[in-house]
Amino acid sequence: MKELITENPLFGISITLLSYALGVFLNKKTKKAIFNPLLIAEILIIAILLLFNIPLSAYNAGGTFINMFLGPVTALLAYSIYRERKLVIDHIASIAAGTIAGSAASILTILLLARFMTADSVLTSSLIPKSVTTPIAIAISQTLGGIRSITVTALLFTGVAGNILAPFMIKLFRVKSRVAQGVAIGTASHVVGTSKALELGEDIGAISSIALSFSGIITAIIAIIFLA
Amino acid sequence: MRIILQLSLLFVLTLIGEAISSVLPFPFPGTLIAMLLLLILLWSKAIKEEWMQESASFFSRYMALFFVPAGVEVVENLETLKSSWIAIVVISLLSLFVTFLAAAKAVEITERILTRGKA
Repeated sequence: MKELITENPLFGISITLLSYALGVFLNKKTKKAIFNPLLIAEILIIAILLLFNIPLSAYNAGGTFINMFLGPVTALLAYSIYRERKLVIDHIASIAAGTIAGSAASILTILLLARFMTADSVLTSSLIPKSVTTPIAIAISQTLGGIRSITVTALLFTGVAGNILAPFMIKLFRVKSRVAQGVAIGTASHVVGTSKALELGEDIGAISSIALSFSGIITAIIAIIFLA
Repeated sequence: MRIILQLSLLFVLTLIGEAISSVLPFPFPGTLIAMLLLLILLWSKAIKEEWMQESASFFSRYMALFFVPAGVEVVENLETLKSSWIAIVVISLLSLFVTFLAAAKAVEITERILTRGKA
């Protein structure tokens, strides 16, 4: 009886849309980083699958259709870079320096810590792209042979932590320059951190969103040159 | 009609990106190639910024929706998550701080060099 509903691709699409809508709603109501729409949708769907004993393959029959939009959505990051081209051109040296240093530091710390904590190579590959924007992170994780769902999990954790801790880190490291604040937030904690950057100031938010696209590309290049 | 064309462009670019990616001698994500192609199209003004508006504003607003299925797959990796969650949390947090510090200081140093150059 249950299969009548769950085996239909419309099932996966429906629960994805509904739980994401609920996530957006809760996020708007609470305005808290921890109520991230993606995070809420993941938890909800996973709970439903486990609770009703629905296999992932049944969910994925519909999930595949939504997943198919990953490519077009990634390509559209080009649009956001282009829209902010004035800011990009004005601060190109700073943005380049910050995102290259940040991406390299991110990859190096993850490699060192992973060795120190004896994480296996699949886990390490899954963690390497976790600071960059989701669509690029998924692509890098797959290219390096990681598990993309572990990447998404670590990435959500990093984003929410970055969102909450950004003001603290700005104080701790005495970051006075607003460009530096924006680049650091975008490079270290992608879109989820960037929503905090927008709260700190529109200029910081714009720089942060440019930085997250740049660091995505740079992380992909570094990771693939040195690790793939 | 324009939205249909925008969607067609995005899917065709992704398809081309994937095709290029599969013939490259080194692994590089096709979706990133598609992104670079679109950037070239916009920057060369082959496509006007306004022309992309509708799909760009829709997709950037609800972008995260399309990442949901990739994350849900973690139900098949709950064992990995259970055995490695400490490593995942520690590595994510520490690298967050190091990345933030490195990026911020690199920008501040660059700004200092640039202002000294101008003075």
